[in-house]
Order: sequence, then structure tokens, then C-alpha cells
Amino acid sequence: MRLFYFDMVSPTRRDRDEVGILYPSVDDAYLEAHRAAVEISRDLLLRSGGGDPNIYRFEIFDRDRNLVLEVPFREVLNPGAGARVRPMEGVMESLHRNLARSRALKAELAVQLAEARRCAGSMSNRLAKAAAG
Amino acid sequence: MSLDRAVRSLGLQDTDAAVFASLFASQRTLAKSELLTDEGARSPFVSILVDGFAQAVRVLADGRQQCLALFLPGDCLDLTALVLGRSSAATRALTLATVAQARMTDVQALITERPQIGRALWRATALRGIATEEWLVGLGRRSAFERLAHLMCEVMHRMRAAGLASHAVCDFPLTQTDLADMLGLSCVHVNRMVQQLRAEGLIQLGRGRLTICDEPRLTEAGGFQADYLGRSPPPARKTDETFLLRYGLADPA
Repeated sequence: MRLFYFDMVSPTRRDRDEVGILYPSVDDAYLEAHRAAVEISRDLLLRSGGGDPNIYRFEIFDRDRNLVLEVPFREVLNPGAGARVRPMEGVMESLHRNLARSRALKAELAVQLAEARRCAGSMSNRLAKAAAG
Repeated sequence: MSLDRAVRSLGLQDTDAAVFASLFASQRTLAKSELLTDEGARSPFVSILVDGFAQAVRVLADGRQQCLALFLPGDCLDLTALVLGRSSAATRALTLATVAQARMTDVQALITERPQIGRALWRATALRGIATEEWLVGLGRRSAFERLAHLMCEVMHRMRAAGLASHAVCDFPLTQTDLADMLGLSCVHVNRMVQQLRAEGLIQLGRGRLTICDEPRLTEAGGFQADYLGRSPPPARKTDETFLLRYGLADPA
């Protein structure tokens, strides 16, 4: 059995799961999240002022808090509206996000390194001039 | 819980209580998840749960299951089988549990001999039926939040009646899966509702213990009214007759 955390996320709020649930596989976790999305949507729709369930999604994390997959309620509630989320898509999205973040950091480091080199070169020139003068 | 207290919680007094208790001479220990009786099975015993938690459960062909009743220490099990000869649902231990057992034929003979014992078991069966109605209302009409709040109020009330709660704290060894099977919800939804009850300062739950931090608000959230449990005060004969008349279990004449 593997431990999964189910954060429920809206554009303005994250309800972080601090307890987690044990499931045999990612597929089982996905199916339970799917079922929960239906149940929670039903409660929201029946409750006066419950709001639009389409704005929510489950983000499912593994024991080490790595994002495993996302389950947007809108895709559960409107299964014909688009491709259904599969576990690997969540993993790939996570990888793409991390890759983009790494590239951005690499670019920032390159800029800072060039600036440091420029400063070092400038100081070196000034020291050489001072020694000659 | 002592067997004597369990027997008295049925409303039996003095000699009736002593004679009835004397039938429950044997004890059986059940491991967590162990089956006491299977669905549709004929059991030669009537059992009283002395220690631990158990449930009556029905399992669908694909493995999904619905808990029909939660048994706490002091509860009489197998009441349906006592009348109908076989169990309508499986009885399974939710924790390590101990049951005291009497031979069903001995109990049936004693009912004939001592009508008060039959009346007490009849009352316990009727109360179980009313508790099932209350669960049915919850499954059909209450939101997930209301269902969970109601269940926690019920468990606390019953544990107090059994003398097993200290103020607002009692054992609560139920897993999220157990709760999901009782409330007809997914585990993920139960998980969220538990966290919501915590976040709103209504309960604390951890290490198998439940603490109700704000009982008036939790009671209101679950729409809980304890009347259906019919636990206290122990019924006198007159109360019994009123009870039986109210639910059409006795001849008004």
C-alpha cells in the first residue's frame, strides 16, 4: 500500500491534506479522487451558495509530496468535454513545470556569472593599470 | 465493559439480569476484521460485545460494502438470528474484540420462562431498527459533513451511556475506510470532512481517540437528537409499553 495526499485546490484556496490515505496504486487513488469529486460536487450543488464545483481540482501527491496527478472536477463532471486526465499526464505536467523552472534558474545563473566575470575583468584591468602607473 | 453492565443496559434487573448473564459463560476473542457470523449464516450463539468495536455489514458482488450498524461494547449481536434463525448481515470485528456468548436455544428457552427477558430483547431489536432508520435518513438526505458530525455525536453519546467516555473524549478506532463504509462516501471525501470538522474547531481526532471540542455546534451540524438511541434512563415497564404502543409493537387493547 502507498500513501497519497489529496489537496483540494481552487483558484483562491488550497485545502492541504495532512493525513493522507493508503491505496494499492496510483490508479486506485485516481478512482477514489474521481468518486470524491462527484460526491463533493453533489454536496456543493445541493447547498445554497455552495458555488461552482468546476473551479476545483484534486492534486494528488505521493509520500514525499511529489505531485503524482491532478483531477480537475470539470473533467469529471463533463467527461465528453475533453480528454480525460490520466496519471502519466499529471506526471508529465509536473516534469514540464520542473524543467521550465530549472531552465529559468539556469538562465538567471548564466546572467549572474557573466556579470561576475565582467566585474572581475574590470577589476583586473584597473589593478594592472594601477601597477603600471 | 462488564457483562453485568451490558445486561443491565438492556433494562434487565435483579434475578432476570443474573439469570440472563449466567447463560453467557463462554467468551471468544476476535481479531481485527475477523468474521463473527457471515451473511445468511445460522449461528448457534447469541453474543454480547464486551470489548472492542464491531459492525453489521453487507458486501456487494464487486466487493463494495455498506456498514448497516456499528456495535459498541455492551451491544447485543445476532438479535435478528434469535428470531429468524439466520443473520441478515455479516457481523465483523472492526478492532480486536471480545464477545460473551450464550447458546441460542438456551436464550430462547429462557425467554419463554421469563417474559421480561423477551421484552428486553424485543426492545433492543426495536431500538436497533430505529437506529437503522436514522442511518437511512442520513444516507438519503444528509450531506457528507452532516453525516460525519451525526456519527461522531452518536458514538460519543453511546460510549457515555456505556460508561466508556470521559467527558468529551472516547475511543474512536475507526479508520477512514470504516467511516466511508458507514457513511456511504469515498475515503477521500471522509478525509476532507474530518479535516473540515477539525479546522472548524469541532473535534480532535487522532491515535484512535475522539475529542468533541464544541458539542453544541457539532450536534447542530449533524442535526443529532439522541432520542432514537433510547438509552437513558433505563426503561420501566410502563415506559416499555408506551414505547411498544408508539411503534405499533403491542396491542393497544
